[in-house]
Amino acid sequence: MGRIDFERFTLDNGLRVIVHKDTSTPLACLNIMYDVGSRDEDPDRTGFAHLFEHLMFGGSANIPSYDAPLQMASGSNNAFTSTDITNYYITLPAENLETAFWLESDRMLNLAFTDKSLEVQRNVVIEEFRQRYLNQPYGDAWLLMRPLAFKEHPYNWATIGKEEKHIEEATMADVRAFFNTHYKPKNAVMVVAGNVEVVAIKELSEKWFAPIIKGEKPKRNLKPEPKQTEPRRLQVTRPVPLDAIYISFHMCGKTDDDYPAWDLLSDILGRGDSSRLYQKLVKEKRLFTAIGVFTMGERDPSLFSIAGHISQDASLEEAEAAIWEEIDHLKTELVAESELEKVKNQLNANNEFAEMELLNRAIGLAYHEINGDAETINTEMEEYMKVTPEDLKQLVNASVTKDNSSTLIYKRETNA
Amino acid sequence: MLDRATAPQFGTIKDVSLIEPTIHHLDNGIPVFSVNTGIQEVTKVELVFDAGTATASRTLVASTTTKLLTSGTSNKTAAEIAESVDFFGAYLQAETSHDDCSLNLFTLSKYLPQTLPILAEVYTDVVFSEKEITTHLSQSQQQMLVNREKVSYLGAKAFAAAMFGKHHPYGRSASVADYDSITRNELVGFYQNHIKGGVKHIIVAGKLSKNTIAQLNDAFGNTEQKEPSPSSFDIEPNTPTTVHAEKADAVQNSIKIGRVLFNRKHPDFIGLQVLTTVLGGYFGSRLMTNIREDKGYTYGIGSGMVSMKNSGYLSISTEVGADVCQAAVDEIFKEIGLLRKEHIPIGELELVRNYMLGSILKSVDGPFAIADKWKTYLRYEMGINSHHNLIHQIQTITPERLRDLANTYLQRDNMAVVTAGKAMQD
Repeated sequence: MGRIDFERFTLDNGLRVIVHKDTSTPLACLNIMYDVGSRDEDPDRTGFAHLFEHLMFGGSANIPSYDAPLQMASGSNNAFTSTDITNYYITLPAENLETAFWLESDRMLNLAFTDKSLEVQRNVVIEEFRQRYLNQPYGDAWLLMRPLAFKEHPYNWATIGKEEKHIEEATMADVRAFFNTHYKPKNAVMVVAGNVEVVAIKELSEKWFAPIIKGEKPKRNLKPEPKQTEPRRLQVTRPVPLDAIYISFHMCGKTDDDYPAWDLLSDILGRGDSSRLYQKLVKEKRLFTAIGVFTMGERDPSLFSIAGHISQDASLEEAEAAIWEEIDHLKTELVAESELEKVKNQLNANNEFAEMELLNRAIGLAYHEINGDAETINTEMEEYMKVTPEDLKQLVNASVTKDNSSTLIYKRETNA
Repeated sequence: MLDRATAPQFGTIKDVSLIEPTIHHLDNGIPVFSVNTGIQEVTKVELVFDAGTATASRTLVASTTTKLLTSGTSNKTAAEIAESVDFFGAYLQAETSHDDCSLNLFTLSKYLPQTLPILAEVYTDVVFSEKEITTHLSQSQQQMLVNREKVSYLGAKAFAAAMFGKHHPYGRSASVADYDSITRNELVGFYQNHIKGGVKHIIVAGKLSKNTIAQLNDAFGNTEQKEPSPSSFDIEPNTPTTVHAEKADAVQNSIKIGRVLFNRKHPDFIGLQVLTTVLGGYFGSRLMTNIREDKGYTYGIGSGMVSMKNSGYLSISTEVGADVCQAAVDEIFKEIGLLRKEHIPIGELELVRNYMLGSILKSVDGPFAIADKWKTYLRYEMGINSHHNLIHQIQTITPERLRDLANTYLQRDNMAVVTAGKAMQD
């Protein structure tokens, strides 16, 4: 796999800057990741980090419109919020990069949105809530699973928020306080990637970002999730055509030594048409019409999940039992070396495909830096290569257990 | 003191260079378009067949056939094919559009010798076992039941039917019952008539080795090729309609508005691309500004031109709160009315030009993106001049011309208006 080269420097105000040079493209990306996500919210005011992401486009200290000047400079942008981070990115012709510095530094300096933009963005976010979570079959699965699996830790709620009401009640004072606490140079990582020179990026960073006041890095003091000791279960009835099952297990966080083994385990069970659950449960036994396995990849200890739509010809009981049968195989029999090699190959190839996109490299570098060190983007694969069949067997025996499981069942309305 | 109120100097895009593929011919005459660029060690091989959903005699035949291309050969089961592809971290995927279908291999360049033979075997020797067919149809049918719970899906089906007619090859869509009547013979027939021996061309892209073309020749150069039988059909003039697809428990409604026009070969197509970008083609567009950023009715709204081989259409699409559905429709037509009445201000048009050129620059960054661009141009037998013309027209189109286009093509009376979700109260 190709190494992603980069240089790093830190401004006096604490902003970390990473430069990744790629002269094969005429483009440049400027990516700013803030170390704030929905886990940093007040449990009684959820959905805030994400609402705030919307407000970041509502005008800043000296620039009334964020989007128009960027579009004028042939650029495009977007942003996303997760439980851990909030990320903003711009792609534009490399020669117009200064426009991106100007826009991003001004909204780190100060926001200037109006009551009207707060009101409108509250509505937009509520429509997003409806479009993505309420108006889709099974759309509320993670709104139900998170509180089932987490009792103390703020992963207990989804990034969109617990309910529409929290978003409706957000006030200007809340928003200001949130900005003042979290949107500080010390709490951010900026990655500039593409057809750029390190010297020029240093100059631009000094010019536009160095004048921003340092501020303090907010302290994070999250409640750890207590160890789960017995199975949890929630069954809901919905107007859906197929029953569905979601089983989640507590696992480690993204930077933990065990993470690569968890990740490979999810691939063995669920990546591609040759994966175990697809071959056994979808193709051979035809119990499911679709099934997926994934790790959340969150920073704090998070979830390993299996989710499937149950075929109308199968019963919930036999479908659920069949998942556990596959898990039990992993507890007693070692995964073949060749099967483990396969998922390692898949991961390697996937990284190579993903890195074709300049933006993916920029976001990847920012993630790794926020999680501790950008260089791990180049070294993490070594950790994956060390995982053995014994590691997987041990992991499944220790953690993929009934006592560590939260099961969510969707039952279809029978007279629907 | 740093002046933060004034935008820094920026340049406008003068040209977007698009790498032209190198053309080779295999021993049996199959043309190969090769895009050799990029820095990642990856290769994509795409076999393009001149047959899509509109080519088949009825719905589901084309999509089911292409989906089952990886379902087993006389030597390998579906599971063995999946295993051999996955082992190298490669992907083997079939795609179906209205007018063509394709079989794609994505692989690390170093594993092309191992994975290319699998692609060749799959292309020439699908057995279509009854068990694979039944499993696939049953699962797709159940997936359709899930999709029917989405207003966007209901809206898209009703929109195609409203524009082209529900029996037209571009307007029809499958019903749940259709899955029960598909036979193996239909699938085998489509495969034999249109896919096996029907490679229109191969597009290969990525960081290629000097052996790549020879490897393609080994894999496909001695396969028997049939004479192409291109399809064409008349597009009947559409009768504008207003349709509502009911889903009583919806909290949001899907809105789709549009009309049948023409494809990208028509001289007005690019102008309409600019016009629909002004209307709803980017974040700062008029519809986004009005319906999202001013009214807060929606998470997003978009408009654009869609091109097919024998037709094309204009489309406006959004999902809005069920209670503001009628208000959103009214605002959409208000914005259309403004385009017909007033010239687009020079500053706004300048912004849209720059934005579109930036988007095109992004859309040809990297070998697979360039290959996709050429796949589109090749579908219409268009060459590099079409790309130059696109850039030139975006740079030079005038407000007068755009207003004329709006008056010619954007009349309310000619539009299909489709909603899906909760019934609107008058």
